[in-house]
Amino acid sequence: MAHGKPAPSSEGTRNPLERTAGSGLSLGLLFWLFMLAAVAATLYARRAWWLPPLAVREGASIDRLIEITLGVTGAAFLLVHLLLGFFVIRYRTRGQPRAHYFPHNTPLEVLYTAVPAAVLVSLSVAGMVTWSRLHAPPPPDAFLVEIRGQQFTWSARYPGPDGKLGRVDPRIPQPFNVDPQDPASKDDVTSSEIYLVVNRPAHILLRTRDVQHSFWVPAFRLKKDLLPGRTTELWLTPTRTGTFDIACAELCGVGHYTMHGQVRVVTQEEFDRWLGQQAQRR
Amino acid sequence: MAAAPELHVHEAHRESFWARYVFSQDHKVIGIQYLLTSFVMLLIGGALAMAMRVNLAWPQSGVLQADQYLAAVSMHGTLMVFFVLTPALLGGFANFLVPLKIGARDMAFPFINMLSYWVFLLSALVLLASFFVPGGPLNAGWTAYPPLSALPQAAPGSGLGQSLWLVSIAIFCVSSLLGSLNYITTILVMRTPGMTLGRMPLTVWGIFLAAILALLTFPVLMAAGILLLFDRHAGTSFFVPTGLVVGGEVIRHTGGNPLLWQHLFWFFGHPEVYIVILPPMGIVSDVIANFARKPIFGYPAMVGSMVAITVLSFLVWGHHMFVSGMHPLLGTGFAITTLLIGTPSAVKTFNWLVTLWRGKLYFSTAMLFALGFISTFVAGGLTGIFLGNAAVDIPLHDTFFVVGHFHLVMGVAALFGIFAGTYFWFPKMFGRMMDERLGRVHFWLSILGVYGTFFPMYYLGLAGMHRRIFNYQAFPYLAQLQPVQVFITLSAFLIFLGGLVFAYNLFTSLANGPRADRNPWRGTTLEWFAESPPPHGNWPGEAPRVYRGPYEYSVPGAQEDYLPQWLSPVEAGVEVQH
Amino acid sequence: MTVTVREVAPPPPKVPSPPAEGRGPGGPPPAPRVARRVGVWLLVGAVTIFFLALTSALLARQAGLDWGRIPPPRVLWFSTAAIVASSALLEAARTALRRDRCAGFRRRLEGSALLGAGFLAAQITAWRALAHQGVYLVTNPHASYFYLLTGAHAAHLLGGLIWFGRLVRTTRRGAVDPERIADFAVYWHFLAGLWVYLVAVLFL
Repeated sequence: MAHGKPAPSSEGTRNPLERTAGSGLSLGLLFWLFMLAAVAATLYARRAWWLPPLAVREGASIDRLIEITLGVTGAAFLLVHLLLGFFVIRYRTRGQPRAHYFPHNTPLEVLYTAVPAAVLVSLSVAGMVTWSRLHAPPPPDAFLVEIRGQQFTWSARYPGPDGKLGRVDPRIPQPFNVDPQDPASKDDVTSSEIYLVVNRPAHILLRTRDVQHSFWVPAFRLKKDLLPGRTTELWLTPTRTGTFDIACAELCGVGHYTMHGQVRVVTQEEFDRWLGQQAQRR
Repeated sequence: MAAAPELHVHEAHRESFWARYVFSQDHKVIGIQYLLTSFVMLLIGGALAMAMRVNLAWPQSGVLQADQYLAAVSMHGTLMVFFVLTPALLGGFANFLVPLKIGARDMAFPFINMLSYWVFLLSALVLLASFFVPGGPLNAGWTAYPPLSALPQAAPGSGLGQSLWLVSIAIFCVSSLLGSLNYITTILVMRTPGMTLGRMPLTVWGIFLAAILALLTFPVLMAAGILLLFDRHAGTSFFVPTGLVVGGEVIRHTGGNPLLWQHLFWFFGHPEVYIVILPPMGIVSDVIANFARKPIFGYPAMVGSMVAITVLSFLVWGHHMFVSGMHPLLGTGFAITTLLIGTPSAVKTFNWLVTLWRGKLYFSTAMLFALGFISTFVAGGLTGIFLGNAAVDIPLHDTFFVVGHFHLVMGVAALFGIFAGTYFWFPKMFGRMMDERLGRVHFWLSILGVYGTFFPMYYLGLAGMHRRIFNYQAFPYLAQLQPVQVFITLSAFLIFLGGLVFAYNLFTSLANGPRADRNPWRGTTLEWFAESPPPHGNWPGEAPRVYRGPYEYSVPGAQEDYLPQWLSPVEAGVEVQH
Repeated sequence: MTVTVREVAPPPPKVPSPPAEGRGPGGPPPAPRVARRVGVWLLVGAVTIFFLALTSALLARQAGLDWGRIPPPRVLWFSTAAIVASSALLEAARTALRRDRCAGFRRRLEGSALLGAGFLAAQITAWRALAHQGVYLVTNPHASYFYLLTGAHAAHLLGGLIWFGRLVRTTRRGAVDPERIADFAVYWHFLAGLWVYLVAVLFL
């Protein structure tokens, strides 16, 4: 045969391929260890390092989707590593004459093309439903607030008793491009304190005047980038009172790591009282 | 066509040292130049990563200032994506392997090939120069979103460092174009007789499709980079809108749109990640078939899935922009295409598993890394299903969840593919064997290190830790996650140690590894028919012709457990029909 | 080592492989002719994508309020005519070559190259005319895209002109390769078609 003898420089009589024969046991056990570790770590993480308790109604469907996806992907991860570990131990070379010549099998291939496709399509359909709901228009009586991000703080503008925010024009440089001539801006209240009202849908307009930022409250699940030159928005319904952390979720400069804010969710009475105090101070 | 005796070839071939080893037009030399350069860049990018990791585990350590941390983050990403993964694959392995594996004597355009390496090196030097300018390297991340990247007032690194990055990337795009021209043309028109497209090894398919992706997407990055350079230096406003006030200064730009950069960048950026995963998928297929002594299961589906990934990769870029404020309908569309693109990857994973089933497995270091590829590609790829589903992406975008995801698929799986290829083809490249024991040590340190480093990042992301954060202790709910960061950093040291073992193995094997014969792994593809290393022109005399597919291992009735592609049916004694 | 010899010399294939000469003694043979053609088409593909990216950015911006139309400089009519005529003349040159009319071929070839240079001169005139009218790169977005696109096109044309120059020079030395001229023609006609597209996007 044309490939017979190994080159004279090889050690011993086995060729380099044969010298790599091994037990595969440690590798197989490693893959099974990954399975165990992934399960154990995830179980622990669900108590120690997981999503913070939900504080917004619209986030519930996101949490449900995460659970479902976790189940699906977890099962896939376990299956693959179960097989990897088993094959590596069971089919290591140990003197069997040949491997099993098996270049294709159409039914099998169709099966594991169709099943992942079906699973992925189902997941995306479920996700689309939630996505559409999140981007539906907010209720007309929503609590209107404009949240502003800048290098490196958060602030807010409230519409005041007229319920309307003053007009914004990018050609007006200061402050924050609000038109002081617009009657609607006369009773606007700006503050470094950000309030939302419990159980009342909040329509949040987001603006920045320097670079991109992103408004994110982990307890709310929802997040939206702030784009200079544009107003972005989101709406949500807080379900309990409390103080929740805001993080900026888009790199915005050297102080990005300091851009920590807080949202206070209060009752309508508390908010009205606070707003009244702000108006008096002007 | 008489075979020219080797002696005669060497006598007549008087190349100077410079022509032979430096400005060589031989695809093998150029490939090795790319590969070794990318390994040097890997060291630099890895060192940056270790500095970042020390800072994240012990924020009080003072190892980096805030702007230096952002510079490290940005340069680490840039180096790894553009100057390690891409050139090692479409550059290193592509150059060395493609002509050998298709039976050609060299690339279609050897001069342009040589040029592509030196232009690439120039782009690397321009990038590294940004470490030494006022303000330092860019601060805006490898994604360089404007206005942060457009306005020098917005961050220290947004000065000269950002401009150098843009110039470097533009030069890189030229190098990439020159390379793609070569790979695509060579594969299309220089295959030896008998080497139909359906008999090409999957490594060649992966490189071919990645080169097509590169040809069609790097020009978009080039366009975006030029527009941003103009905004920075010529006063245009492609990306910078009206009415900005940055660092106390009123900015005079008007009318630009920052979202435009994101669309352009990610239209390139998403295919880029497939550019760096398709060749490793091919490499892993070659390695697994060889060390399982079995044909790759489902070769047509393996090709079809890579083609599907290539086509779909043009349609998914918006999944990086779900929360950007783009129109929600776009989000719906991109979510569908993104989840669809998971299907071909699943098919490939199952095909690899079935290839292992009832195989005769040999655990060379190359095989270990190939198996590690499957494990980590799955561990990383599955979380793409979270991120691709638009609504689920909302809480996870820009958190460590994403960092864990893309590191496992790119920083680990693709890199493991590169390691597998290195251990596999080192004998062919240099005529020597690498040390398999040291290789095993490298593998074990790496596989344990990468799981310990990147898997916990999923939990950090779910717990609310956002990314590109110099010191998370400003956030009370994140301060308690420090032990996880410490665990990650300690695991990262394992990866680094493994890298040192690899480097040591490389050098000592180059110096005095045992000599390799022509086909140490008993492989079937054409490169194993050439000498180790192959001479100029790859095969003295006739180029081999091809008689069968690339993975005819363990064919029933054949005398050996492998039927090389170059062996005529007469010599093989058996005909394979399927 | 009889075994080794048998390994190295398989039975003679039906199709002769390329001879082992070419680039220097013992070097690899040159690539097949079709390789250059494929390479040029791939180059055209990449440049197309580049300009598609820029023009799609333009179209997105055009919807904005601050677009600000600039009038097309009159000399653009001349440059458009020049580049189209250059392509036509190149084709006429190739026809002449096919019919062995050597003198006619050379005249037309050099005429085409001159028209290409004329195009560049016209572009420079157009930029200067606009600057004279006070329309600069930063005047408005339309102007920005105009200068950028015409500048990028001119840069690609300059490269093509250098290639053209080398072709003309080898033709003058008597070495005429219709295949190489055909390769070049792909790129040159592409530049003409690209120019027409750019004018349409910018001004229609």
